[in-house]
Amino acid sequence: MTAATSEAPHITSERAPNGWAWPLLRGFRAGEAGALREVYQGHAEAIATALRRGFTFSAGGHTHRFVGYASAFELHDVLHETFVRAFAPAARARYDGIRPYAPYLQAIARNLVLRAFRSREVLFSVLPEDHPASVSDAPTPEQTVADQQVRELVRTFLAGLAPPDQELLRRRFTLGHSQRDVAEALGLGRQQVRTREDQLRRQLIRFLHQRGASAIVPTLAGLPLGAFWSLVAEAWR
Amino acid sequence: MTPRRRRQLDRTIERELMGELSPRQQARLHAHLRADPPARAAYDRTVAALRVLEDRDVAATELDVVARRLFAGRAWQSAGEPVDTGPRAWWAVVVAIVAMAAVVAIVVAWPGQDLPPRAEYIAARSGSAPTSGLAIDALCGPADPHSILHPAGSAACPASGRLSFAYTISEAVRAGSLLTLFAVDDHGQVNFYAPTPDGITSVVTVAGRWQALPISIALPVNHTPGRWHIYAVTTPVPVTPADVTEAAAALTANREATTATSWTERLAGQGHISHLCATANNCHTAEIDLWIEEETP
Repeated sequence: MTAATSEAPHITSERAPNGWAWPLLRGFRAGEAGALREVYQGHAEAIATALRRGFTFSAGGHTHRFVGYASAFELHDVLHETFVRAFAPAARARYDGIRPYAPYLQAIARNLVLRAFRSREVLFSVLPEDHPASVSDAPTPEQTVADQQVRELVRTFLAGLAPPDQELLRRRFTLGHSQRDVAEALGLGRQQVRTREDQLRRQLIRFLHQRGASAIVPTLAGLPLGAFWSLVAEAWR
Repeated sequence: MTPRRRRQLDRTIERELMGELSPRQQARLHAHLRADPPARAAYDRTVAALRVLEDRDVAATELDVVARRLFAGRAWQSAGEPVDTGPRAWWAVVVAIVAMAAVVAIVVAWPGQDLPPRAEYIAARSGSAPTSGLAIDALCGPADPHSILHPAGSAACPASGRLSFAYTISEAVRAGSLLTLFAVDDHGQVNFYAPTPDGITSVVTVAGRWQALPISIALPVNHTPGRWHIYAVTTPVPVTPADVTEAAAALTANREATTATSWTERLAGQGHISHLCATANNCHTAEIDLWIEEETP
């Protein structure tokens, strides 16, 4: 039997209306570095991906497509500026924690891109009225060549790695396992996996520089890379 | 571009992507990349390869690069706009760091309760047969930045509080060598204090009495309750965050080893710090355990 009580049950929610934990929202509004980092980590990839893939918009009676940043450096600049604006004290104070945060960030990123609309029309192709699907997303011949070159370079790099390193990368990036899962499967510490991953990144960077990667045409950052890893996985098999 | 300048650029891009540039170096690189399309193309190519490696539209490495730009040296809590660490604000940042160091120094050397003379303190820390000319102490207290920090000793620090450090070097240590400080918990989680991936570099040591480090750490951030092993080392040349990560991994993997030897010796030749200390004369180490305790409501 439940004891009767004269008080109404006191219901508290562990999360703010936008889905964040209350301490995160409070920390965000107070500008605490830990909270801001958590918000960045939660949203940066989606914003960066949108800036990479592009989006469509209407202007001057036409439908345009922003084809996405081919330059990683430019993408990083806009991603950085998006969060600088979003994290400014006034912007944080205005955020009520009721509306979802992702669309707010997307709007800032979009406005930053559109600000460059007039000066950078090469990034904004006009879509035919009867062709809603973007024809501009297909890789150019130049991009296709660059794609092949980067595939070959990374394939050569991977082929030269020791089998345990190949296995670590396969589990992490082909199978998409977390560092913790990879550590468990390979009998390593999570920190060891993290460190080895960093070392392999550094090795790849040095490999590119040693191979004089300047031979690659300078549009690699815009390559469509979705199918690449399966190709490499096939090569391994 | 000459081959030498090309190699310099490649090396700088590598350090940027691995999180090893200070905010100032980072700002200089970005200015260069903006003004030099071939250099920018080299940066883009390197990032493209990382995307291929990770099989993602945007590599995790890129997000880390932007995070470092976003958080290094910025005071987001201020009422005005955040402080930028770019070249224009460089002197303001220096002044702020010096001011912070002064404040922490005042907090550590509180009146009427001076820290012990360094010789006694080193002996106490290192036992009867000190093996190191370096000693460190953790100081903790409430979150209020105006409150006094006390040496943690064997007591636990409150999980909601603030942490800082002090160090002293004996005559055996050459003043001006660089102090590296980091923490590892029982699960291998690493916290960087100096250097940090955000651009804080190793600390240039000063001889004499106990010195406070210009570091004030909010324990609710990245410090889970429990035991943390704090490691310090002085080296003649700078140590990078990647070197720290490497050492932390080796220490975690080798945790059961005896603590009778210095922690760099326990690395058993693994990693840059171990190699550095195997060959350098003025490499001295210290380590302490710090307990962080969750307060009961």
